[in-house]
Amino acid sequence: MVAVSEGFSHRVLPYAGAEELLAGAVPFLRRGVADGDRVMAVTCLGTEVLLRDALGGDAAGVEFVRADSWYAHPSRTMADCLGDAEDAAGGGRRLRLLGEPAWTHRDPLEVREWQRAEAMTNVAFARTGAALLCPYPVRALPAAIVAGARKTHPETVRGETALPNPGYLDPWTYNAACDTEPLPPPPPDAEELLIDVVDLYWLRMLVGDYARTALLPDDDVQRLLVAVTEVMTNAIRHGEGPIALRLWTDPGALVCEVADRGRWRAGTGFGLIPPRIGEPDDAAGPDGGGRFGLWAVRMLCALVQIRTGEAGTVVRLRLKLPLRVDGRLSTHSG
Amino acid sequence: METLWSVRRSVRDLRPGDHAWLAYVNQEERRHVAGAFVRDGLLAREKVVYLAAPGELIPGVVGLPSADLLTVVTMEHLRTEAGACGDADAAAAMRALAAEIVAAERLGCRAIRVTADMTWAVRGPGGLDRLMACERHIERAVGPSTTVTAVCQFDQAGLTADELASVGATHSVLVTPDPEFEDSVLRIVRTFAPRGLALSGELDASRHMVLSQALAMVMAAGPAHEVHLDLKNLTFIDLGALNMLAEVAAARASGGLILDRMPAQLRTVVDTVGWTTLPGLRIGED
Repeated sequence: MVAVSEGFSHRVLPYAGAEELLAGAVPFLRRGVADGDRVMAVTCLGTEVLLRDALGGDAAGVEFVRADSWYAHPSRTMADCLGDAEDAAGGGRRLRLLGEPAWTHRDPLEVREWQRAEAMTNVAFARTGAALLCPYPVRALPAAIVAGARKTHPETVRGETALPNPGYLDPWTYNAACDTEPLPPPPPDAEELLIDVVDLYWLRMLVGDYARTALLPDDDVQRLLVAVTEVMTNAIRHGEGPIALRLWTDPGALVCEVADRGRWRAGTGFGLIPPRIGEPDDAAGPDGGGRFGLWAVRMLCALVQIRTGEAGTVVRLRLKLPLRVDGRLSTHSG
Repeated sequence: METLWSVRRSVRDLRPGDHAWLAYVNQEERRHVAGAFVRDGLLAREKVVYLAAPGELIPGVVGLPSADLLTVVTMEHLRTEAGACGDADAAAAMRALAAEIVAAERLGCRAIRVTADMTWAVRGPGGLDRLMACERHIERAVGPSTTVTAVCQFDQAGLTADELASVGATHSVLVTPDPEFEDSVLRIVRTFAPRGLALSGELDASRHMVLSQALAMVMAAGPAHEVHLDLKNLTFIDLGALNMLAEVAAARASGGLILDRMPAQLRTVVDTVGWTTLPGLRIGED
């Protein structure tokens, strides 16, 4: 048996049924209650009922949070959870979190981002000393998601035993592997603008008009304008012309991409790790556009896709479009 | 001063025939605006006539301008003018300044700037009524002039709201500070109560430098004071500017940087990005 170490841990708990789930989760949570950790269980309602029953009186020492609201957005969830972990560490405690990611109702792009977030968790939380345990229901999930979890979690838990995952990948290697496939090309009717004026005021007018026509809500229009300004500013400063801005709508999403001929240098952090205040970028990578630029862009958009290589760099921003009142997904008519 | 004023002009936009008033909130604002008025005049080699309070250093004066360019009229001078009639009053001030204007015109000056802080006259002999009569007289005299620009200064704290409104009504123009920066996208104007800058338009990387310079000026003028940014009319701010403001705030040992009246759409952005990533930024009044 491997004792739970006092340092950071991020483990996957694959389970086939309630028994296996409880065999791993209950000792994990009990240990936290006994140690005076801040103990959280982020699960669906069914799992919460099971855990409360199994924990008995110890359930009072556990904060239960519903998974579907907790796992709302990869970057925002990571920021909030990291804040909790740092607050706990600052108070001499440890954050101990049982987190059952919500995989259902996710499209493949979202699944990819949550998997990426699992990998980056190993970098972002390393110095908080947090103990993170992620149950994966092997029968309910596609095999690829369970297999992916063994690449993003350093260890697997069975009962009270933790064993190293032989397939575990360095988080940055995993991240790069997520982005090997080229992005699908923009549709032929995408709006395209070659940027030759440096004043982004005009660009924002164009993007704002397009987004409002596509019925993007006002708050999201503002988020998009800030995000595209940031990405474009980076491209102007560090990229190579010509710089193209393209806008289109996919079913349920407004897409805005900035493409240039430059290639990001190795070690770029891609904005995947929250910036640490008062410290130079290290793990977060040299984001070029400022300490928190790309990180903030991820926070502002539903999803950010980046490809950089010989052919140049594309940063694609996606924001969700609301369902129209007629029940169909809105699409931009041009 | 928030009024529905018919004509508002910044100092640099004043022109001959303007009889303008400045209702200042404090000496800093008075010296800022009057100083710009004097400085612009002297640099353009225009005649400047300044009615000075006892012991006052004339704002906006660089070096030692010749008496041909700058004439300072003192209160002692006014008392001499008033002679047997008693204390200096608004009428005496008007006569003294008018005499200087006539003298300057005789010398061939094509542009003459006149400015005086007239707050004292409200409590002087004849009080508000005599001041108003004089102001109306000046309005009639300056209005058609092609040479004279006049700025009458009043301390908001020295007059009641009614008195201010009455005095203001006798002027055709309200003078405002020159913007620290202005183009078609962004405008930055000094504010004095609270101290700081009012931003309107959009702020992104193209204009970080001008904001940085304007902020540095305000901060240098009062290192220990809080600096407020009035964002009411700012419709866009980029991440770089937010980051810059956070760094300026964090670097300031005393006297913070406060963001007042931040529009909801800008707040949405900062809320989404997270205030914790921008330590030092403080939200002021709505």
